[in-house]
Amino acid sequence: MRNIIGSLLLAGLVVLAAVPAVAQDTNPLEVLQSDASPEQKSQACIKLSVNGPVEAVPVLAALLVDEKLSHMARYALEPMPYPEAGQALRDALGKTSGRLKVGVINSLAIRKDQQAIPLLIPLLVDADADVAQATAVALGPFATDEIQKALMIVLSQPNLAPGRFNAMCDGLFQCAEARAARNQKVEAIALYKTLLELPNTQTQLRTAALRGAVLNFGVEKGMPLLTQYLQGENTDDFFSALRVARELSEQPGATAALAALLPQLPPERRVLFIDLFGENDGDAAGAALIAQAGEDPVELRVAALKALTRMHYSPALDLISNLAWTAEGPLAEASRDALAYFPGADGDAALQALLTHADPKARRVAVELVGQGGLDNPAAVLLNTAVTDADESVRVAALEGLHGYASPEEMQSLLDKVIHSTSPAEARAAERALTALGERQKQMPGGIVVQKAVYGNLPDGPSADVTEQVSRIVAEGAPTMQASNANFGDPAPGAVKKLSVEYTDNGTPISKTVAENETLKFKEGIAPAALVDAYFAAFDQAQGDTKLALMRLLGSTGSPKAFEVVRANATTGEGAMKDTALRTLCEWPTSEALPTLLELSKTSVDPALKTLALGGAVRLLGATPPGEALPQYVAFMAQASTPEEKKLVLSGIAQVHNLEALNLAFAQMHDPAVKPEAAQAAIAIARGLNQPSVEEKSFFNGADLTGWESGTNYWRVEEGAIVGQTTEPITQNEFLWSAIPVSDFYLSVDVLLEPNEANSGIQFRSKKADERGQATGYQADMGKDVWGHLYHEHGRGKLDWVGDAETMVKPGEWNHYEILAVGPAIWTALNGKIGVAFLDPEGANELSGLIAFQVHAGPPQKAQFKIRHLVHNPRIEMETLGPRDLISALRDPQQ
Amino acid sequence: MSGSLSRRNFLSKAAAAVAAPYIVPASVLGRGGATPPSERIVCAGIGIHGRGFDDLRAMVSHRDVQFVAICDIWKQQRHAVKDFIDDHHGNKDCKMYRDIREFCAERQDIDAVLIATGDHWHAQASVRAMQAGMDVFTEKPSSMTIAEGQAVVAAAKRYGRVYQTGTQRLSEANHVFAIEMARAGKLGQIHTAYAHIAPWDSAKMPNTWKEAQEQPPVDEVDWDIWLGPCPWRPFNMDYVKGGWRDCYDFHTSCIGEWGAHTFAQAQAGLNAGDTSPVKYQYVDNDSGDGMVCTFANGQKMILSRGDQYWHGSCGERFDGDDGWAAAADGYSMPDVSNPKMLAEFKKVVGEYVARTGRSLDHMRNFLDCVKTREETVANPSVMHRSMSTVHAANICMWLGRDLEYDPVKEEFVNDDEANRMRARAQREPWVI
Repeated sequence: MRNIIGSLLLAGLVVLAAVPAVAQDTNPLEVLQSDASPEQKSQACIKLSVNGPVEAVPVLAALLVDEKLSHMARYALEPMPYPEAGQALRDALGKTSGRLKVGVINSLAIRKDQQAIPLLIPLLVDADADVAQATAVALGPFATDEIQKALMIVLSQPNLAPGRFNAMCDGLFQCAEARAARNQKVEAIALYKTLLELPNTQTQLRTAALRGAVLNFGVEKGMPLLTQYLQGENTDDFFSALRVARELSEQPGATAALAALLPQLPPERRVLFIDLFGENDGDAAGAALIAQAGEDPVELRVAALKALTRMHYSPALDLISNLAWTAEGPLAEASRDALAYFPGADGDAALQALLTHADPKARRVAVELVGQGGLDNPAAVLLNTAVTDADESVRVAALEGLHGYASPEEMQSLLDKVIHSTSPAEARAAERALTALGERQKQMPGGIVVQKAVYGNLPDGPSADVTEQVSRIVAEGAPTMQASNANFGDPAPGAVKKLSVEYTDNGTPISKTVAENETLKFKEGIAPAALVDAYFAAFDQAQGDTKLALMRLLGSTGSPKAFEVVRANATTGEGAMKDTALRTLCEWPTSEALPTLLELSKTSVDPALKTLALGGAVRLLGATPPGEALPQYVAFMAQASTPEEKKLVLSGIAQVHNLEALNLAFAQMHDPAVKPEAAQAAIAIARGLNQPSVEEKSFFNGADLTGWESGTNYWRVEEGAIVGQTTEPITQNEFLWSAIPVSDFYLSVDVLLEPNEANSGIQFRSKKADERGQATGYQADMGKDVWGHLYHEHGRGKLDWVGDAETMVKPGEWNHYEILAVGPAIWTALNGKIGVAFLDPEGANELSGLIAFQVHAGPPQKAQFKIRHLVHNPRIEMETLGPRDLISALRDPQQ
Repeated sequence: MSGSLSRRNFLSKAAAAVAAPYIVPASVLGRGGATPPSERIVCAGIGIHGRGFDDLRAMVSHRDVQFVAICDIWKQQRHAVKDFIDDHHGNKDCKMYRDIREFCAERQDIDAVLIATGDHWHAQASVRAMQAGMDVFTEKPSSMTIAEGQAVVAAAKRYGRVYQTGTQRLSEANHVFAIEMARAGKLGQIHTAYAHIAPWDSAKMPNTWKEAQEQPPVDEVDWDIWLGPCPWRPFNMDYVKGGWRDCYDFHTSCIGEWGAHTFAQAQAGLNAGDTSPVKYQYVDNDSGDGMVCTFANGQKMILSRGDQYWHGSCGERFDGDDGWAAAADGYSMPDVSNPKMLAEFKKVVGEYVARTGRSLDHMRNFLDCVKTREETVANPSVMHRSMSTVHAANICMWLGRDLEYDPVKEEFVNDDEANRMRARAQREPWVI
């Protein structure tokens, strides 16, 4: 039999070129009935799904009860156009259970198998929730009275599990949708209303019910129901109704009805409601919105202006145009955006009109909006205004607008303004426009030689050698390049790739890596020679303030030739020339200026200039490798004399993600004038900290005291805990010492102290004071009234005695104690609450030492310690506290 | 509240100005300026690694987002996302789930979910999340079959959910410009659009099984859920790490890889966001390069694997009687037949924002719509129609013959085999 079917079919089966990789001459039915591999059988079913003949049905039907192949049998059967396939699936309903049955039900649903209905209805109450739920969803679209009734009966059962409840609702929604599609609107609406009235349903179910009822009612009958929800007290209901209103607004006549409702809503809802009026609603809602544009609060007016613009409602242009130059705050912003981008020619005409308004303030606003793209050909419009307008402030605004547009075409006109304008403000604005023009035209200077470039899922994933492409982009003069598939293809689809480039800059080897879609910057660009030459020519002729302006322009080019001239003026010039030259150096765009700025920032006697130089140096250091920048920051910090300078240095330090930088930031937290900035820097560093943490494996073995030492016999191990117990009063504190030295570490330990009135503690970074094992150093304290405090045993005494973590302690029970020490910063926490966050101003010589547990002098006590973790070089975090929590809590008790 | 009509978003051509050192805000010790809880959008994620982290970063960069939970079948990634989120929010509140069913049942508090699973889970997860009352931002391609797309459309409508597929170029100024130029007739009557397909692999995927490896405990990697609605195959960790792209079971080929973006872009410019081409002309190659798809009104969309129409990736181009415009990644500005068109760039883009109220930040557009209940730019219909084009083009390549499609009935004309490929049986217990 098998072979007969096989040979019959061979001729009829179209060979699929692409679908699965079954050898093309194999007959999938033969494969299924052979001892072929699971893979071959799976592929055979995929093939049969596309063109399997009716003769395949019995073979597949037999597999429906096969745990492993049932799905693949359905995969082939489900799309088959033959009634026999439906029969096979219906037959399988009685032979399957659990997951397999769920699958069969779903396939019958996809096939829209009418004959399955009577078989499925009883399954609505199946004991298997997955079966019942799949059945509800499957039956819904058939939407017979019987199905609807059956679903309702299940739904009305008390204490129906939420999963079943939602599935029954989904089935009923599908019923209602099917009835609406059959034009049985009355029945659909009745069903939706029933569902809407169910108590305590989830928001999405209420939204679904309201949506169905309102949309099927249509505008006239639906609006009252919708209004009730729009005005309802429940915010969720309002948002459901808002969504429905959006869909209703597509029906004829809805926009006017919704606009009429607008005044009846509270203002904060109106703000959201207005959003639903769009492009085509001008005629019906425009007038209503103009009214809203005059009503408080301002959010409402803004929303109305945006809507009027969206709908291109030209009668609003007078209002918008007027507000654009008379209003303030958000209303001004909204009306200006509206005027700039009001669609169509009438919007442009309104802006044109404002350009020639009698009031200069109106013209100033108009010019700004042209700069934002309000009119065609903005560069020409702006240059024309800059030359012809009678008012200086308008001309200045036009020049400022050119900032974003000036091209080489406008260069000479702008340079003329710099040289000839009698208005300092105009000259300055023209200068800024030229500076921006120069930035846009910059090209990378020579000297970069690419050695090797790799793009891919670095370091271990697939990657491609892109040396050639990178070299080409460099040769084209681009100072930056984006690490993107556009440039380098996609060697590792789906992964976030990196671009890593090794190159030399005038012989100095440099290596840089950036993530996908970031920009790799080789070095600062230099403005084109034509621009530099034009500036030089003008510079040589100029006098007074104009010469100063041209020096600044030369500075903005980054040209080495200009650098020499500016530096010469900074050294040998006098008065304003010298001063401007110095300031120009402080803003120099390329690292060429770094040595000069480092020098200036140390030696300048003018405090303002010193700060400027420092700012420039920090800016340029940001582009140098962290290893080189950090020593400079250290030196800067040592000589920084004002908070402003310290903040500048901190902003540089924040970009270096190592421990040394972190300690520098911590050190500045002692200075109240820069504490917030130092903390911010510390948080930034802590988040990017690039040192690997190491879990200590040989701290405690859980069984005995290997690696621990004590001069007494008070210590033992019991049930995985270290126990320190005294049975008689003792006269001095005693300790159990670990041999593991710690410096920066995180210790997480569960502790139990009995009685709570006794005292114990955890020494860390401590030293043995004598041979007997007395301790000197930090102690995280334990015991009534001292829990979580920081003590300094045999030394500085109470270091931080303020915290209230003890409120979290459960006396006489196990409590979770965490200790974190990184550089001068020490934290304790009890059951997740910070005890101390202490910046030790005097701890420079106590950055490392040993851990020891204490039993205290006094009456008998028992202290137990269950070690969770000891981590070296930890990140700044505890179990429930992150870097921001911990660092922002740090304080110096001396302050 | 609504889509911001703001030049800050898109007109800041950051070409100019030497960057000032990063200034440290003084409000660090307090959390001044945070969005009040009532206006926060409570978000969660399903299946985030690799590129999904880009979406995650984009999502949580908005101050009104509070990200509270991650659902992932891979323990390592659950923890990676939790660590990232806890670090971002400065707390330890991000909850972890392995099983999407538990996640959907338990988290009634979640407003919006980010779905960045493997492609074969996008539609399944979207439908489940929307049934549970969540709004959805999902990575592309967002359906494996025409039927899955229909299910997404139906669920979003039925439950009134906001949905956005991750075709972010629909929100990028360069593409908006090209699309608007075409849509508004500024290139004359458009006769042809070109759409980029991924140039590195084939439309014909081998679907071979990787070597079986020992299956880890479900807590480490839940392989059964990873497979989800797709045919069973033995565990191999490479799939979980992203190595599923050459499989018919899990991927929509080089056509879907970029067509999910570029067909949506092209259809937007053709004003064909709510339909699909009616004719697909088979091309005798591996990729579909050069396939001509024709819309009912005669406009053509041609699939292109090369870069002759643009100079970057994921490009589209519109050819009209009066000129052409193209955009792709890697452009600083769109490419146009006449450079003077570019003088209108800000104006065209600004007017788009004014007309639609949409942000030029794809994630922001979604978040705005979560608040206003508006339709997003890449809403279910846009996703489903562009993905239907993807599926039809794939089926055309797989069957090796021309196809006709009826976008109203959503069925192929006189081709039973093509029609049998509109859906794939979901592996139990997954139902769609």
